[in-house]
Amino acid sequence: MLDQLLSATTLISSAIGALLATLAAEFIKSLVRRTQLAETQRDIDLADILNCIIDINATAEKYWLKSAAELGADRYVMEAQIRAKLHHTAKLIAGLFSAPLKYECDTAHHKLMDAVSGGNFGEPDREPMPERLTHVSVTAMDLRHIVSTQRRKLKRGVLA
Amino acid sequence: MINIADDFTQFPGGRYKRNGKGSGEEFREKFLVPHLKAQERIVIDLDGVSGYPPSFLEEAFGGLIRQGYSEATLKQFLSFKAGPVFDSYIQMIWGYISKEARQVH
Repeated sequence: MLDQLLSATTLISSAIGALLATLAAEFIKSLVRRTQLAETQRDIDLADILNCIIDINATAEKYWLKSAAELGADRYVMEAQIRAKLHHTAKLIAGLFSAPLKYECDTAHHKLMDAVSGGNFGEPDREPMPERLTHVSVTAMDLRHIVSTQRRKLKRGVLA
Repeated sequence: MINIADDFTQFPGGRYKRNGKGSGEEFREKFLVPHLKAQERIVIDLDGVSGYPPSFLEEAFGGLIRQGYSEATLKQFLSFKAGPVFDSYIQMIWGYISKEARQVH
Protein backbone atom coordinates (compact mmCIF):
# COMPACT_ATOMS: atom_id res chain seq x y z
CA MET A 1 0.00 0.00 0.00
CA LEU A 2 2.79 2.37 1.06
CA ASP A 3 4.79 1.37 -2.01
CA GLN A 4 1.85 2.17 -4.27
CA LEU A 5 1.39 5.56 -2.56
CA LEU A 6 5.09 6.37 -2.98
CA SER A 7 5.06 5.38 -6.65
CA ALA A 8 1.97 7.51 -7.24
CA THR A 9 3.61 10.49 -5.49
CA THR A 10 6.80 10.01 -7.53
CA LEU A 11 4.75 9.77 -10.70
CA ILE A 12 2.79 12.96 -9.90
CA SER A 13 5.97 14.82 -8.88
CA SER A 14 7.77 13.87 -12.08
CA ALA A 15 4.71 14.84 -14.13
CA ILE A 16 4.58 18.25 -12.42
CA GLY A 17 8.34 18.62 -12.90
CA ALA A 18 8.06 17.78 -16.59
CA LEU A 19 5.15 20.21 -16.98
CA LEU A 20 7.05 23.03 -15.24
CA ALA A 21 10.15 22.34 -17.36
CA THR A 22 8.07 22.49 -20.54
CA LEU A 23 6.35 25.69 -19.42
CA ALA A 24 9.69 27.31 -18.53
CA ALA A 25 11.16 26.29 -21.89
CA GLU A 26 8.15 27.71 -23.74
CA PHE A 27 8.30 30.91 -21.69
CA ILE A 28 11.97 31.40 -22.55
CA LYS A 29 11.27 30.60 -26.22
CA SER A 30 8.51 33.22 -26.29
CA LEU A 31 10.82 35.78 -24.65
CA VAL A 32 13.49 35.02 -27.25
CA ARG A 33 10.95 35.31 -30.09
CA ARG A 34 9.64 38.61 -28.73
CA THR A 35 13.12 40.08 -28.40
CA GLN A 36 14.09 38.85 -31.87
CA LEU A 37 10.91 40.35 -33.32
CA ALA A 38 11.70 43.71 -31.70
CA GLU A 39 15.21 43.60 -33.18
CA THR A 40 13.83 42.64 -36.60
CA GLN A 41 11.35 45.51 -36.44
CA ARG A 42 14.21 47.90 -35.59
CA ASP A 43 16.11 46.65 -38.63
CA ILE A 44 13.01 47.10 -40.82
CA ASP A 45 12.59 50.69 -39.53
CA LEU A 46 16.27 51.38 -40.19
CA ALA A 47 15.96 50.02 -43.74
CA ASP A 48 12.84 52.15 -44.24
CA ILE A 49 14.74 55.28 -43.09
CA LEU A 50 17.67 54.49 -45.39
CA ASN A 51 15.36 53.91 -48.36
CA CYS A 52 13.48 57.15 -47.65
CA ILE A 53 16.77 59.07 -47.65
CA ILE A 54 17.74 57.53 -51.01
CA ASP A 55 14.32 58.48 -52.44
CA ILE A 56 14.53 62.02 -51.06
CA ASN A 57 17.99 62.46 -52.56
CA ALA A 58 16.82 61.15 -55.96
CA THR A 59 13.74 63.38 -56.06
CA ALA A 60 15.72 66.41 -54.87
CA GLU A 61 18.24 65.88 -57.70
CA LYS A 62 15.46 66.09 -60.29
CA TYR A 63 13.77 68.98 -58.47
CA TRP A 64 16.73 71.34 -58.08
CA LEU A 65 18.07 70.64 -61.57
CA LYS A 66 15.14 72.40 -63.21
CA SER A 67 13.25 75.62 -62.58
CA ALA A 68 9.69 75.66 -61.23
CA ALA A 69 8.48 76.70 -64.68
CA GLU A 70 10.30 73.81 -66.39
CA LEU A 71 8.86 71.27 -63.96
CA GLY A 72 5.31 72.54 -64.43
CA ALA A 73 2.71 70.63 -62.42
CA ASP A 74 5.27 67.90 -61.64
CA ARG A 75 6.83 70.24 -59.10
CA TYR A 76 3.79 69.87 -56.84
CA VAL A 77 4.17 66.09 -56.90
CA MET A 78 7.89 66.34 -56.18
CA GLU A 79 7.42 68.85 -53.38
CA ALA A 80 4.73 66.65 -51.81
CA GLN A 81 6.95 63.55 -52.08
CA ILE A 82 9.91 65.33 -50.55
CA ARG A 83 7.86 66.78 -47.68
CA ALA A 84 6.06 63.49 -46.98
CA LYS A 85 9.25 61.43 -46.98
CA LEU A 86 11.11 63.93 -44.80
CA HIS A 87 8.27 63.83 -42.30
CA HIS A 88 8.05 60.04 -42.47
CA THR A 89 11.77 59.84 -41.76
CA ALA A 90 11.28 62.10 -38.72
CA LYS A 91 8.51 59.79 -37.50
CA LEU A 92 10.64 56.67 -37.93
CA ILE A 93 13.57 58.30 -36.13
CA ALA A 94 11.27 59.27 -33.25
CA GLY A 95 9.97 55.69 -33.09
CA LEU A 96 13.37 54.04 -33.23
CA PHE A 97 15.50 56.27 -31.04
CA SER A 98 15.14 58.15 -27.79
CA ALA A 99 17.43 60.74 -26.24
CA PRO A 100 20.41 61.02 -26.43
CA LEU A 101 20.70 58.90 -29.62
CA LYS A 102 17.74 60.71 -31.23
CA TYR A 103 19.33 64.14 -30.85
CA GLU A 104 22.18 63.42 -33.28
CA CYS A 105 19.75 61.90 -35.80
CA ASP A 106 17.45 64.93 -35.51
CA THR A 107 20.34 67.33 -36.07
CA ALA A 108 21.43 65.45 -39.21
CA HIS A 109 17.82 65.23 -40.35
CA HIS A 110 17.42 69.02 -40.01
CA LYS A 111 20.50 69.53 -42.17
CA LEU A 112 19.02 67.29 -44.85
CA MET A 113 15.69 69.12 -44.58
CA ASP A 114 17.41 72.46 -45.02
CA ALA A 115 19.42 71.20 -47.98
CA VAL A 116 16.47 69.57 -49.73
CA SER A 117 13.54 71.79 -48.85
CA GLY A 118 15.07 75.03 -47.61
CA GLY A 119 15.89 78.19 -49.53
CA ASN A 120 13.31 78.97 -52.17
CA PHE A 121 11.82 75.47 -52.21
CA GLY A 122 8.18 75.72 -53.29
CA GLU A 123 8.46 79.16 -54.81
CA PRO A 124 6.70 79.50 -58.17
CA ASP A 125 9.52 81.59 -59.69
CA ARG A 126 12.36 79.36 -58.44
CA GLU A 127 15.35 78.99 -60.79
CA PRO A 128 17.40 75.78 -61.14
CA MET A 129 20.07 75.38 -58.46
CA PRO A 130 22.37 72.50 -59.52
CA GLU A 131 25.04 73.81 -57.14
CA ARG A 132 22.77 72.70 -54.31
CA LEU A 133 23.03 69.02 -55.25
CA THR A 134 26.39 68.38 -53.60
CA HIS A 135 25.03 69.72 -50.31
CA VAL A 136 21.92 67.55 -50.69
CA SER A 137 24.00 64.41 -51.31
CA VAL A 138 26.44 65.16 -48.48
CA THR A 139 23.68 65.73 -45.91
CA ALA A 140 21.83 62.62 -47.15
CA MET A 141 24.96 60.46 -46.75
CA ASP A 142 25.64 62.01 -43.33
CA LEU A 143 22.14 61.15 -42.13
CA ARG A 144 22.42 57.58 -43.48
CA HIS A 145 25.72 57.15 -41.65
CA ILE A 146 24.49 58.66 -38.37
CA VAL A 147 21.24 56.67 -38.33
CA SER A 148 23.12 53.41 -38.99
CA THR A 149 25.67 54.24 -36.29
CA GLN A 150 22.98 55.08 -33.73
CA ARG A 151 21.14 51.84 -34.60
CA ARG A 152 24.24 49.88 -33.66
CA LYS A 153 24.29 51.72 -30.33
CA LEU A 154 20.74 50.64 -29.44
CA LYS A 155 20.86 48.22 -26.55
CA ARG A 156 20.06 44.69 -27.75
CA GLY A 157 17.98 42.36 -25.62
CA VAL A 158 20.02 39.65 -23.88
CA LEU A 159 17.92 36.95 -25.54
CA ALA A 160 18.09 38.40 -29.07
CA MET B 1 -2.45 78.34 -27.10
CA ILE B 2 -2.22 78.18 -30.88
CA ASN B 3 -2.65 74.75 -32.39
CA ILE B 4 -1.26 75.03 -35.92
CA ALA B 5 -3.20 72.02 -37.25
CA ASP B 6 -6.54 73.15 -35.80
CA ASP B 7 -6.25 76.93 -35.98
CA PHE B 8 -4.20 77.45 -39.13
CA THR B 9 -3.59 74.51 -41.44
CA GLN B 10 -2.85 70.79 -41.43
CA PHE B 11 -0.62 71.30 -44.45
CA PRO B 12 1.98 74.00 -43.78
CA GLY B 13 3.21 75.35 -47.08
CA GLY B 14 6.10 77.42 -48.31
CA ARG B 15 7.72 80.66 -47.30
CA TYR B 16 5.61 83.43 -48.78
CA LYS B 17 1.88 84.09 -49.21
CA ARG B 18 2.36 84.15 -52.98
CA ASN B 19 3.32 80.45 -52.78
CA GLY B 20 -0.20 79.57 -51.74
CA LYS B 21 -2.20 78.92 -48.61
CA GLY B 22 -0.59 78.01 -45.31
CA SER B 23 2.68 79.88 -45.77
CA GLY B 24 5.10 80.85 -43.01
CA GLU B 25 4.56 84.52 -43.80
CA GLU B 26 0.80 84.17 -43.39
CA PHE B 27 1.18 82.31 -40.09
CA ARG B 28 3.56 84.93 -38.73
CA GLU B 29 1.29 87.83 -39.68
CA LYS B 30 -1.98 86.24 -38.57
CA PHE B 31 -0.94 84.51 -35.38
CA LEU B 32 2.46 85.53 -34.06
CA VAL B 33 2.76 89.25 -34.64
CA PRO B 34 -0.64 90.20 -33.10
CA HIS B 35 0.22 88.33 -29.87
CA LEU B 36 3.71 89.77 -29.74
CA LYS B 37 2.40 93.29 -30.30
CA ALA B 38 0.00 92.76 -27.40
CA GLN B 39 2.93 91.37 -25.37
CA GLU B 40 1.07 88.12 -24.73
CA ARG B 41 2.80 84.84 -24.06
CA ILE B 42 2.04 82.26 -26.77
CA VAL B 43 2.20 78.49 -26.56
CA ILE B 44 2.35 76.96 -30.04
CA ASP B 45 1.28 73.36 -30.44
CA LEU B 46 3.17 71.84 -33.36
CA ASP B 47 1.51 68.40 -33.44
CA GLY B 48 -0.94 67.09 -35.99
CA VAL B 49 0.27 68.57 -39.27
CA SER B 50 1.71 66.75 -42.27
CA GLY B 51 5.23 68.02 -41.55
CA TYR B 52 6.95 71.39 -41.62
CA PRO B 53 9.02 72.56 -44.58
CA PRO B 54 12.09 74.47 -43.34
CA SER B 55 11.07 77.45 -45.49
CA PHE B 56 7.79 77.68 -43.55
CA LEU B 57 9.51 77.58 -40.16
CA GLU B 58 12.28 79.96 -41.16
CA GLU B 59 9.88 82.55 -42.51
CA ALA B 60 7.40 82.27 -39.64
CA PHE B 61 9.94 82.44 -36.82
CA GLY B 62 13.21 83.68 -38.32
CA GLY B 63 11.07 86.35 -40.00
CA LEU B 64 10.18 87.75 -36.56
CA ILE B 65 13.81 88.74 -36.07
CA ARG B 66 13.79 90.46 -39.48
CA GLN B 67 10.68 92.31 -38.33
CA GLY B 68 12.60 93.76 -35.39
CA TYR B 69 11.87 91.37 -32.51
CA SER B 70 14.92 90.35 -30.49
CA GLU B 71 15.81 86.76 -29.68
CA ALA B 72 15.40 87.59 -25.98
CA THR B 73 11.85 88.89 -26.57
CA LEU B 74 10.95 85.75 -28.50
CA LYS B 75 12.36 83.55 -25.73
CA GLN B 76 10.23 85.49 -23.28
CA PHE B 77 6.96 85.22 -25.20
CA LEU B 78 7.17 82.07 -27.32
CA SER B 79 7.01 78.51 -26.14
CA PHE B 80 6.26 75.26 -27.93
CA LYS B 81 4.45 72.04 -27.26
CA ALA B 82 5.10 68.89 -29.29
CA GLY B 83 5.07 65.12 -29.04
CA PRO B 84 8.10 62.93 -29.85
CA VAL B 85 7.75 63.25 -33.64
CA PHE B 86 7.42 67.01 -33.69
CA ASP B 87 9.74 67.97 -30.84
CA SER B 88 12.70 68.01 -33.22
CA TYR B 89 11.06 70.95 -35.04
CA ILE B 90 11.36 73.02 -31.83
CA GLN B 91 15.13 72.66 -32.06
CA MET B 92 14.94 73.77 -35.71
CA ILE B 93 12.81 76.83 -34.90
CA TRP B 94 15.18 78.12 -32.21
CA GLY B 95 18.06 77.41 -34.56
CA TYR B 96 16.50 79.64 -37.23
CA ILE B 97 15.81 82.38 -34.68
CA SER B 98 19.39 82.30 -33.36
CA LYS B 99 20.90 82.18 -36.84
CA GLU B 100 18.84 85.16 -38.01
CA ALA B 101 19.63 87.09 -34.80
CA ARG B 102 23.36 86.54 -35.41
CA GLN B 103 23.02 87.80 -38.98
CA VAL B 104 21.01 90.87 -38.01
CA HIS B 105 23.31 91.99 -35.18
